[in-house]
Amino acid sequence: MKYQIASLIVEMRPEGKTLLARSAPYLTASDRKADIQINIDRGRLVRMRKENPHLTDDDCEYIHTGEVFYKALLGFDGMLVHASAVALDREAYLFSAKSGGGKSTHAALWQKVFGERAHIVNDDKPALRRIDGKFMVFGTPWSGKTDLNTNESAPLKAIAFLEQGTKNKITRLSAKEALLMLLNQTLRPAAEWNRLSSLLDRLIKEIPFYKLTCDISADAVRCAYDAMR
Amino acid sequence: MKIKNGYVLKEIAGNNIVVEVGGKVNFNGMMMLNETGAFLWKRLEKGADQAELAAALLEEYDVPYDKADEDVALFLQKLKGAGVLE
Repeated sequence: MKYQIASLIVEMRPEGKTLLARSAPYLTASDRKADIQINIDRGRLVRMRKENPHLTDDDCEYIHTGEVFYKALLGFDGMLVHASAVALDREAYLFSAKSGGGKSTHAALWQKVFGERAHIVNDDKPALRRIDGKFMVFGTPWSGKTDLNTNESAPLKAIAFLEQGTKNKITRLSAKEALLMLLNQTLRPAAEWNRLSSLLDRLIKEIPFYKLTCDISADAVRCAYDAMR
Repeated sequence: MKIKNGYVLKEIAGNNIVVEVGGKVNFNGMMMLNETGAFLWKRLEKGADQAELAAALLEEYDVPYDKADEDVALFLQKLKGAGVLE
């Protein structure tokens, strides 16, 4: 079956409910040759399941295909950012944090504050690609624990790393700080380091990075938006 | 004294970063170098020994001999500590 994900033609044959459901909005009738071929290694899934007894077969297929996709993405001026991506007025804002770091909560607050102007592009693993000199954020079927993703794209406006706190505060990060934090929130396949490093070089030069300390109030959204917009 | 295979230096947005990529699926460790560190690293890659590194530093930067010697020793110590040298 063919999908169009992050403007790339992806071929794969899902069997599990989770992947089938979440990838359905990305199905395409395009006759373009596949850019990325995801061969689902069923034997690998069995091993994965054994090593992670808390995961279901569906989970394993979903996680495994995501890994294959995001590794392949590095071959197309693209990368994974572990973040919740919100589109507001057709521009994408990324909120990154480690799992359980409050990124989904913060993204949901943007929807609450801005209503229909804002929605979530991908709640956990948006794809980032540089296309025609611009960084674009894409929804993909792989969005972590939630199925919050939409098949669309928006130009990247800014990236913030979240930290939970009692006061709302946002500060601009230096290139060094941004680089170290970003490297902890993406896949780092050693074989793709050349490509990843040149993409990171552009990303850090062209896009502003912030550290956002925030609570879960509407004020946190205003604090972030005022600095990032 | 030689940099182990698989360690590479890259400049990313003005930062000199060394990561281990040889034979690894995903790299974990990384090390940031300052400008002098990156300069020394490039010489070391070309096979310079400790004395040659100090000489290169003296030539490139306006530093007293003792300081160059000390900087090179500290740099090598840092690399050894990180397990980057063989």
